[in-house]
Amino acid sequence: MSTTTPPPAHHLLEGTTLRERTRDATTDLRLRASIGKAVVRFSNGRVEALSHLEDPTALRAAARRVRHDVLARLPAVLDRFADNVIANGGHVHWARDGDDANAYIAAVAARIGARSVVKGKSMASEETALNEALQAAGTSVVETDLGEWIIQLAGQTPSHIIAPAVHLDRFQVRDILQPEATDGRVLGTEPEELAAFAREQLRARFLAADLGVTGCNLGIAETGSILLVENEGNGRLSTTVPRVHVAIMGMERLVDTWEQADLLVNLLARSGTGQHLSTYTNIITGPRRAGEADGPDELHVVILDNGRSDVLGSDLHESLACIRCGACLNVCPVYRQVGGHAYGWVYSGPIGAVLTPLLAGQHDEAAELGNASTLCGACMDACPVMIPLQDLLLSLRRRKAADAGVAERAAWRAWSATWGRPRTYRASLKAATTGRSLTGVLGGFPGAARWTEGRTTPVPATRTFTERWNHAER
Amino acid sequence: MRAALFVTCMVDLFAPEVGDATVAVLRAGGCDVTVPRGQVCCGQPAWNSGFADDAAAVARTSLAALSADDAEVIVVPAGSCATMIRVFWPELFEVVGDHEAAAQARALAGRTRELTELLATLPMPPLAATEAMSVAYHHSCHMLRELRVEQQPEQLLDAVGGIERVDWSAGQRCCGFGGLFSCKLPETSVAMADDKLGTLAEEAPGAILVGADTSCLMQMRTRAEHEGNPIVTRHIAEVLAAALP
Amino acid sequence: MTPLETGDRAAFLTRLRHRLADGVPANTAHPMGPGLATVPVAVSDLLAPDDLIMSFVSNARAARVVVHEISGHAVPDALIADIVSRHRVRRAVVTTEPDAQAAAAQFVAQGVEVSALTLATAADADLGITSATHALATTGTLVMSTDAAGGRSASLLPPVHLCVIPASRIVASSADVLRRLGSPDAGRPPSNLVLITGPSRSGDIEQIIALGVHGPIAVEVALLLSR
Repeated sequence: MSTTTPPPAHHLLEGTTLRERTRDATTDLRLRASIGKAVVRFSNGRVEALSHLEDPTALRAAARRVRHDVLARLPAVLDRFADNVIANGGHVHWARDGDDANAYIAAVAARIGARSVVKGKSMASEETALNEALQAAGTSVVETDLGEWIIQLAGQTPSHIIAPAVHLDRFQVRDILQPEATDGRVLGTEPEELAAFAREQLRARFLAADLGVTGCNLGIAETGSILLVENEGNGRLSTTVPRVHVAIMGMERLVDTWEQADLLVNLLARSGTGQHLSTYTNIITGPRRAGEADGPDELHVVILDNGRSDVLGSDLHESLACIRCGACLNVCPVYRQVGGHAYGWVYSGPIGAVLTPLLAGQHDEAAELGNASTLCGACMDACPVMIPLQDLLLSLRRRKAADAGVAERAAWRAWSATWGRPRTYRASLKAATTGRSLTGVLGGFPGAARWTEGRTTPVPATRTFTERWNHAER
Repeated sequence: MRAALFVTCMVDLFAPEVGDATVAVLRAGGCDVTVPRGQVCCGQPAWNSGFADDAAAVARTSLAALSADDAEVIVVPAGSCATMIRVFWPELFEVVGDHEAAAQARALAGRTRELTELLATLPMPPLAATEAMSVAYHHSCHMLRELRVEQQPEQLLDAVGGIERVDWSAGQRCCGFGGLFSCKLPETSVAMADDKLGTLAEEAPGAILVGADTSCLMQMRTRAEHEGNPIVTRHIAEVLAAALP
Repeated sequence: MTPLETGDRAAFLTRLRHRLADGVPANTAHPMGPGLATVPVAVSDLLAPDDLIMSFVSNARAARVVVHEISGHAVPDALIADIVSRHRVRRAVVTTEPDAQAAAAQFVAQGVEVSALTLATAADADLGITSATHALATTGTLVMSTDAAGGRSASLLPPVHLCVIPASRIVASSADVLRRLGSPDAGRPPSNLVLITGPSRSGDIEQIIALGVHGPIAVEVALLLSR
């Protein structure tokens, strides 16, 4: 793989608005067809898988409590985790931010003389733009999850937390993979053929790689273990074949005990892909031990803050409970229409709308992501750890309102002054019914004029209900 | 039973006939209906836009008007506004630091009911539609997922003679209204409406689209009108009232 | 290399303690449930608690594992021959587990070149022969431990994975394995413990399941019913 592959576009946010991005997405019928099919399959799968469990709602409520209990004691749990990773022979790096994490991994790569790096799927490394950092340091990086490989070759960011290439159909995937077939063969469009091609291409990269980088679904403090779930085996290969393995773990992706881990693992795959368990639940405790045939000589765990500590203890605290299953994307009626790229950064869907302003706050454009929702609540209902996403989105909107411009603030002040008093409220409605026009009432809502883009104008009644009622009472 | 009606701004301004129908069905179920004076909007537009102080200023007025009425039940012919009162008023007042209003809101929440939720508990007379019709029911989001009112509206419709309620695969999916979401991201909002309306046209062409929120119905009706789609929308109170003996 | 800790743990954790000093804000609209006396176990109706074997077999098959139910004490030579022929096995690797070793000897007898497990031999093999420490009835899962197998890649690099396992090792669910990792008498977990549920798969292209994307395209289980 050449290092001239375009780096993932990590800055879709810059210079664009949410409305522009969503508007463009809604005109892409091919995208909407791909997304529409995928989310239906995923969400039907989730419903079916959960239907086999005894009282799934109680399990989800317990999982919410588990995440709450861990996060409330996060410093102590992290302390225990790190002690045990080290006791198992692993290295630990505490990374304040993405640059810090990237620099550490680049230094590991430099120390071992790594020329090539294989990566298992890691959303945290998407967040830190690790590939760009390693490539800038002269190390070639290949994504090995099939979907991640496809979007890496296409120079794109993931459009779904667990299915990064979900926005592409088989024809688009074939066109992206075709240039990799250097022996002149022409690829077909059957997913099985394309997957077999990926196996063949990537197996050689695995065997040549010096360093494997993965994410981490859960750290388990009581034994200092890390747990990765996946279906393809690329995560296992990344943690088995190269002589050094680095796992990047968001500091919140932690539980204290195996009881807690077991509950979450049982909800994770069922909620994400609709499998009862993922194909591989890969649990790693320290590097290869004496006498073992394979496995890395070194294991490094990079514990990443990158803005998370600002969220801890705040009104958006519960966003840290996320276990990245993607269920909220699959049920979100907004995601269903616009896909993941419209959210502008690494995470998409309802959880992306929450995380982006929190973790990509350096982009001014991130703050409006809280508006990418109708607050329909389907997300919380699907979430295996019952994150009240609609409340978090409302919190974000309040934060944004606190920074609102004078005009917007004044408009709401005028609205509440009028509608907050019965006499002026009634006068406002009276004016609308008399004039059969909304200008005086809804003209006050910022942006309300855009209603008529694609819809007819609602006309007020000739008399309000209250007038009719009062008249009848008299 | 005495039921105090929270009219909602949408019904008051755009759909007074829904208010009339609501009163008619409540009376048929044996309620003595009053309309507390001094009520305004529930404050939801500002709350959902992040302007909690402005939302509280409006909500406080309605809270006072409703709390002053000692009716056994406050009834709301809109799932979204009923949710605002029951679920979000306590939070709203906590957020702005008005603990007294929050406590008052909690007390009010206990006797607040969405219309179909209340009707399902009343001794309704036998209902029959004047002419046979097929209807598809739109579950509005807050009513379904916050209030968990799911069966009642469907059961009420099913009990009406002459009405055939059709299954609708997208019946529980958001219509794309979302308050000012509809104006902030209009293209996405209408795409959501099209998705929903498209499945209805495919699965039950000719069915009347029935819902329990005037706002959702307005979103779908005005989008359909804009596209020349002849679909008819009705508030569930109207459908039930028209079937009264 | 001796384990190293870099970055500033104290500063990192102090910052978190500071952030949590005033506790976590309560959610009024959607309150948190009560504290847990115990963490509940996920119980699935795909488990028939009085017939672990039947549950394992049917759930493994649903996960696209080929399960051979064997009534004798060893894998029949005919099955070995069948696997050799169906998968065109010329070279195999084997773990250090006794059940895997016994089957390996049978493969050797049928002309297959069987090597001890290393990365190089596994990368070159047509078949990986292993046993498993447990099997999970609820999900049709095999549990592989480096403590028992001496390595990881026999179930990973070859295109076909054969696991020979006595039926007595079938337990109800993941809880029977994972929760024990934390018990005080369990000792340190193995360097690698992997729960394998079916062959490698990907749905990354149009959610159409393609098998054998990186790991084995076929997983076969020889289930020894009498042990």
